[in-house]
Amino acid sequence: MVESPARVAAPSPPTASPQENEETVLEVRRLNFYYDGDALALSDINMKILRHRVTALIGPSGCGKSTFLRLFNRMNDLIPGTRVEGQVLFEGVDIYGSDLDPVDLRRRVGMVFQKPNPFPKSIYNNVAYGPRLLGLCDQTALDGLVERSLKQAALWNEVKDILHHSALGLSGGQQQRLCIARALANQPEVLLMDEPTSALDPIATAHIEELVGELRRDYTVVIVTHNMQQAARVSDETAFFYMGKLVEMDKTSLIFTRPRHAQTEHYITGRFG
Amino acid sequence: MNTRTLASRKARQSLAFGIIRLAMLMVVGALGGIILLLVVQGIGAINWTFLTDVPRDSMTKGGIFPAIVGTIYLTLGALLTALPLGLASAVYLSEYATQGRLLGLVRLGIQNLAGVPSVVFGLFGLALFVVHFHMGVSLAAGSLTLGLLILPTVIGASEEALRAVPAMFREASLSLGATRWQTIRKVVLPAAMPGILTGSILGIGRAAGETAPIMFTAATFYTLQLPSSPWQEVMALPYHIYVLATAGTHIDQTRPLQFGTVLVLITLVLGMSLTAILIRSRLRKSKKW
Repeated sequence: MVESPARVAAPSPPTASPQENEETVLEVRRLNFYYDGDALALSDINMKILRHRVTALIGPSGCGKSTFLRLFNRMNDLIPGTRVEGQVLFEGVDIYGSDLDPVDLRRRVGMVFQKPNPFPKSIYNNVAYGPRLLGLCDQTALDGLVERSLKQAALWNEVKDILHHSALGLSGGQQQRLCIARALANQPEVLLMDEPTSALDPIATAHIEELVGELRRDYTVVIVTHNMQQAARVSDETAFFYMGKLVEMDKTSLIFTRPRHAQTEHYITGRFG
Repeated sequence: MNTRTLASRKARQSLAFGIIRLAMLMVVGALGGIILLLVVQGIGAINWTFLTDVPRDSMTKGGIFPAIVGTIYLTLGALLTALPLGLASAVYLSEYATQGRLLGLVRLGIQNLAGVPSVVFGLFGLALFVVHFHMGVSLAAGSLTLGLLILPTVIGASEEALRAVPAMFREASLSLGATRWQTIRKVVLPAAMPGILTGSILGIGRAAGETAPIMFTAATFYTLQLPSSPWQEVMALPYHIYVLATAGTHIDQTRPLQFGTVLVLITLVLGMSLTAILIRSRLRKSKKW
């Protein structure tokens, strides 16, 4: 695994003391989630996600962490028969309340998927996709937004001369950064990442991890990962899920040095999972 | 306990493979035989005049140009009818409809539509388009009837192409704040379009060769002029063959022309299929998902 020396341990944000900077963006209250009407996949979850932090969701396969992540942009709505109880507050508004349109929500809460999934379109048209949905068609504005987004995703230098080539010609790691750029072009407040490096090689993974560290400055990031070293490297807060329950959540440095629960300790020391 | 020797197992294998080979040879042989017969009998009739002139001397001389043009018009008309309707149905079935009894009924209906004999389509077209909508025997009525005939094929091809678009494209689009319609229009349809088009063109080969649906709705035995509007009747290759072979006054004298006409029709249909297959294989190569 490639690591930049500065990011071996989870860094705490250099500015300000935690108390002053802790603003909750997403809050989950007494949440239960069911597949097929009555199969309980998540039970009684309570969680606060802080602005401009990277929150890692870890846990063994099938523990519900990806399901949980997809609650935040209501992607679970696409699966018939699912049901949500409890509240998910985004800036104080319950996103499962009746007056919030998921289409609107997804513009503010972007997502990057496990497998890079650029559209079979040009690099430019991939990034411009979201803004165009909103009706932005001013060429200069679009150009600027595409450039800015690709720069934020650390891809600009590699693709600036081939913007109108097919996105499918890029390598897997480049495609995943393109997907990040595509999500950022919507200027979301929150970026959800569902195991974004699980399909990538170590070098591409290191690129993405470095990028996540930088995205923290402008965005709130929630990342699901299978890889505990990755959680330790990139995140400020870590939540450990086991069998549909949130076992514990704390600052990453604490979770990895002094976990309060035996299950957490067993998992992060590799005894199961 | 019956233990079989290796030799006997191999013999059985040879026998099975032999039967399979024979079956394959019969299929290919039938097609080859038909084409060979047509080429041998029909090639003599084909020359420039035959392809570009109108029929003369009670069909015993001259060419089949109006019938070629009529068949091309009818085929295009059928495609124009079936493609929008079939595409919309396929989008509904594969993107919007929720599984349930209604969807099951709709699918059953489409499957049954595919099994309806073509002469029934012809009579339906006669009753609805020709008589009820006062279109008369015309290019328009024939195109609509043929369009209905190939509708199940177009729906099937379109649904298959839509299903082949990976779910991850839809997820990506929705996650960027697209509505379902925006997702369909901007991501799903462009990705599926090559498959939809080639599937539909393959299906339309069938329409080009059908006689029954057009004999009451569009085709005429003899006209010297090419259609100048959709409301005129047209000559068409399949109907021309039917008439020459069964209803003409000089059936024996027109025999070479019959073979020539069949050869032209089958070349047209095979050409269409071949083009579709070529386009499809080229597009498959450029696809990377």
